[in-house]
Amino acid sequence: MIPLGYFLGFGVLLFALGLYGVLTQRSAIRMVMAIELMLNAANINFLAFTRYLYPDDPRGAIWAIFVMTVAAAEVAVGLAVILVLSRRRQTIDVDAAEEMKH
Amino acid sequence: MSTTLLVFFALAAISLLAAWRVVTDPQIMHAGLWMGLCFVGVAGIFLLLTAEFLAGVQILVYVGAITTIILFGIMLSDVEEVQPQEPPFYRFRRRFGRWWQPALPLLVAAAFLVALFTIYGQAGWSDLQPVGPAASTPAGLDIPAIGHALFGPYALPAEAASVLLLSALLGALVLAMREETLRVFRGSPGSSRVLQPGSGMAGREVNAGETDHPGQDEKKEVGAGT
Repeated sequence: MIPLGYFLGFGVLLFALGLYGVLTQRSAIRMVMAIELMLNAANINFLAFTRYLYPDDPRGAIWAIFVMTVAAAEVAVGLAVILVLSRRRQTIDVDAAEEMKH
Repeated sequence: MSTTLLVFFALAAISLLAAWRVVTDPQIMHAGLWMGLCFVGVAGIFLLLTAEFLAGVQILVYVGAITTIILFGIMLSDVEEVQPQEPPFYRFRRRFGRWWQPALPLLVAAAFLVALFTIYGQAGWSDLQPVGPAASTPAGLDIPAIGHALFGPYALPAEAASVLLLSALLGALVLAMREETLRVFRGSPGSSRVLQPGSGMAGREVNAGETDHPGQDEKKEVGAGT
């Protein structure tokens, strides 16, 4: 059988790739994609811990379902915001939306 | 090496390669498709964890819905960033002009990686084997157990999640609506347009005639060039 550490390591690698993506990308759609990768890594951890440490507890799976729900809602609203940004500015560069910075 | 371990390594390699391409591919459309592949790999990992229901939901929600929405978003926002872009870090280079500055995000990600591996190592979880028979689904990941929990003790959060999804749907609709369509809904006197089937599209055609079509031609050229 696969030891728990392999799943945790895979989750950490996936999360680090997503973090790297969020930090390097300048296109808002790319950032949304990288955030999705990070949410997936979190789900892997929930399910791995459920399988290995709390096999009789359905709460891990329920958390994973809620994470997926929130991810779907986040993508829908986020892409609508990006669409409005692209229509008004002709750009989806996150550095271009800076009115509220000062 | 057992077959399960081989399958795990194959799935993990596919997912990580796809995730790497998501953050580095110069074509954003390709990045979206790589993201779909990565989600399929993660669904396979869920199957290895005997979470069949979550693997199905992963395919349905992430591969079926989220990847499609993101590809739609790419196609609808026809702007320069959607075209092949310069490699990452160019902004860092322009701003700082130092060779080590591009490595900053890499450094943050690597520090995070090392920190979590250290924490996991100290917790002593790395060699843990699952309790009970290897191939059978534990009670916590059983589909009836999830269903009973979701509609028993966790019914209120489930309802809240459905309200969240509904409000996200309506919010996205209102946000993405064209100004003309919104004016029709508000019934303001400035609008002579009557809401008919397809009248939301009429406003779109006015704008689309000037901006959308040249952009689409450009996109085709780019697609043909690569």
